[in-house]
Amino acid sequence: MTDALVLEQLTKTFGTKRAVDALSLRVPRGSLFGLVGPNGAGKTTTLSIATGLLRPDYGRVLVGGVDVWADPPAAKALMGVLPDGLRLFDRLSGRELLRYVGLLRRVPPADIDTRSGELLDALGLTSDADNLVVDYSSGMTKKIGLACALIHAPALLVLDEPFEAVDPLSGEVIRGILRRFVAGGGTVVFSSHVMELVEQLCDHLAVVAQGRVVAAGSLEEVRAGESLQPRFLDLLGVAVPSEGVLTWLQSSSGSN
Amino acid sequence: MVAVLVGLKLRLLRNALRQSVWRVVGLVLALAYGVFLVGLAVVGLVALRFTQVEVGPDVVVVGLTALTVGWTLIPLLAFGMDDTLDPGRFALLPLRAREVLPGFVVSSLVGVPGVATILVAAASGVFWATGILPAVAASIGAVLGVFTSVVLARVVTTGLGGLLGGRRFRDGAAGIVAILASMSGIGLGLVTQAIQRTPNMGELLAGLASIAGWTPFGWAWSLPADVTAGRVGLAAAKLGLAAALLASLLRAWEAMLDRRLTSPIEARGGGERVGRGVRVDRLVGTTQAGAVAGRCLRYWRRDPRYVTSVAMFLILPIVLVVSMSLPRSGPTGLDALPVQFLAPLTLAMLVGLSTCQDLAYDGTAVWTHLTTGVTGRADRVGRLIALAAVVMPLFLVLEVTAAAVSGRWDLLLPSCSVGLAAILGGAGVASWIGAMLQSPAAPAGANPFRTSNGGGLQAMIATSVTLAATGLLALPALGLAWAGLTQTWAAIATPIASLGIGLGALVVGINAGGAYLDGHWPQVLANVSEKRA
Repeated sequence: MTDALVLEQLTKTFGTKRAVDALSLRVPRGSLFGLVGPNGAGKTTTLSIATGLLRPDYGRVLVGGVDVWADPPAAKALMGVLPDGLRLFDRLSGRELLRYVGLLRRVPPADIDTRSGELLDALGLTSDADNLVVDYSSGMTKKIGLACALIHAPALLVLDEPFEAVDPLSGEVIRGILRRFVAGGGTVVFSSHVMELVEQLCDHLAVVAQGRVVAAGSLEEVRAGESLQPRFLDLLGVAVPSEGVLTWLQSSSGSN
Repeated sequence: MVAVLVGLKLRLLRNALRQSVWRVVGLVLALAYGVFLVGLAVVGLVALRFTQVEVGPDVVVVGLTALTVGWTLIPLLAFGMDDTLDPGRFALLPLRAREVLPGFVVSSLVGVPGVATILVAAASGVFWATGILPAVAASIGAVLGVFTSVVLARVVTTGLGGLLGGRRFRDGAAGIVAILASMSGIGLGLVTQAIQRTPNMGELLAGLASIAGWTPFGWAWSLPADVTAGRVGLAAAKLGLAAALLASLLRAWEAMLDRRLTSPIEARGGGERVGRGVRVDRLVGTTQAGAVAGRCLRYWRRDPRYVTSVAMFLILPIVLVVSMSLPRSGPTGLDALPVQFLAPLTLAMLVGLSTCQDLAYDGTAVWTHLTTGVTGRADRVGRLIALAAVVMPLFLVLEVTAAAVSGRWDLLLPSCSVGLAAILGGAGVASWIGAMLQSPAAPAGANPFRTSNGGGLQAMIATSVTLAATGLLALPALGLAWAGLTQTWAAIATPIASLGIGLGALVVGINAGGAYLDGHWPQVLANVSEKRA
């Protein structure tokens, strides 16, 4: 069985900062894969390279055996992508945006109509479907972005922080969608800071820090018998700030 | 506070320079340009001072007034306003507008244009310093003039920007444009008439100087001229006017700062529902290019930046009609010829510029095109279809109106031919250049007169190449049209050759631009992303 996503020796440098440093990773087909790491660990850079949004200085990305940087269109056809921090074509309504993405992905128009109806319904966006995306809240924007990533029924979903700013109810809906997607044979890769979420949802994960993979494998392998949060801190070798610093914060009313 | 803000601005500029070679090149070019212009102005002012030419004072007043007008107009028309220090960023600090205003005023002067203006104003002091009283008047005038320039520019761009960014502008746009265009048309006609009537340059200058001195732009600058000429009462009046103007501009800016400090988030407008737009979808079809065209057509209606572009396209026919229908002293037939050809050429250039900007306007939303694997060619074609749907009707109206006003219906066909060559060719060139060079643009809803943090130089290069290429492509058609006035073969060849050139350039531009995009999509995304300073 080939892996759904293979990253080999990815390296990307911005100026003097090495954002991703010879990072290699295998995502097994049919897994729900979590990518965790502290701020600035290179999660977004890694996912951008994997999805064809950012050209690596060195390294190779295979999606279902297709090299993303050798044959971008073939690889992109297999992926559904939700980046973080990039705008959408937000002067379109939710429905128009879905149709736009569907047409660009060459989904038959009849399928677009039925699928977008179901997606909007499932994500609770039906009542706002004809409002401009620019007027959506950040949680709704995440959800319409997820719908856009799903409209062509991809084999692999790559989501950057899909649960950020999403309310608990929608979060549960999204988790349900992702689980069903995996049960149907798809593969999901997503990044997150929230350990509880990853622990509850994922069967595989990788911990990255400073552009490198610190640990990777099935949830059980990475946890090594512990709960994920202490294990994560352990892997990163982070010390929680001790008592005795920042004491001036306790006298709350401003005497600076 | 002044020192802190000026220091902050210098630091931000320095960090931006470190981030991109383009910015360094841009700064060097701006410096070279600034040194050249300032040198020219200073040498001219000193020379005028010692030659004591009669028209000297008039030239200086007109020149300095033009400088202030330039401060207001240039950001509106071309480069936007430097927004390195965005007041919105200070919203969380416990500051009042009154405290930070002096800092913002002074830091606005930090930069090539500000320093250049100060130097020129100082040199004008040398020109007027023929006695103690004129020297004092010149110093006061220079200080008032410099600050008026900066603050006026800031107030006008912020005020108009707020107006244009709002959704309500869409409905008011046509009205505002019509008024502005008619006014500039009338102004153009009046200036032409004045030039035709007064053959004496000195007289004309004196007239211009006295008009300039009475406009708000020239109150401060004409102060020393009036003192020198012994019109002390008039000078006192203008001093009062200039001081009052600056004071009220400062108050206006303070009010704007206050608003920005308390509501830093740019207006997003409220819950507008849109129709299903089935008609648009059916018209453009379901191919990739059709989808892009449908999306662009919606943007031409909904995005204030595109609405502003359409307004710019509209200004032209109105200026044309108004200025041509004014009564004039000269023979009418001679004027019609250049106007009828210039108007479509100008439209073509505006169309080219807009095409160049298209990817920048998408901003980071262009990732959608990357991940969906849309072909570069479909992207180019789709945008052009939408553009054609907007521009072609305008073009036809423009041509017919021009012919109707001038009465030269015989020029309609050659003028249309030249226009088509330029519009099609320019759009083709711009499709290619626009694929290669992008820079971040202010997002929709933000102040469109804000320069983004990032290369203005790429935009400048793209703009100049597009303009030059559009002109070059129109040249053969223009030549043929000119020959066609007397030669039948040329008259027949004009439309054929024009269409050939235009379509040829269009096809080449679409294919070359599309191919470039296919290989460089990630680069495009990086280019349009705002670099974090």
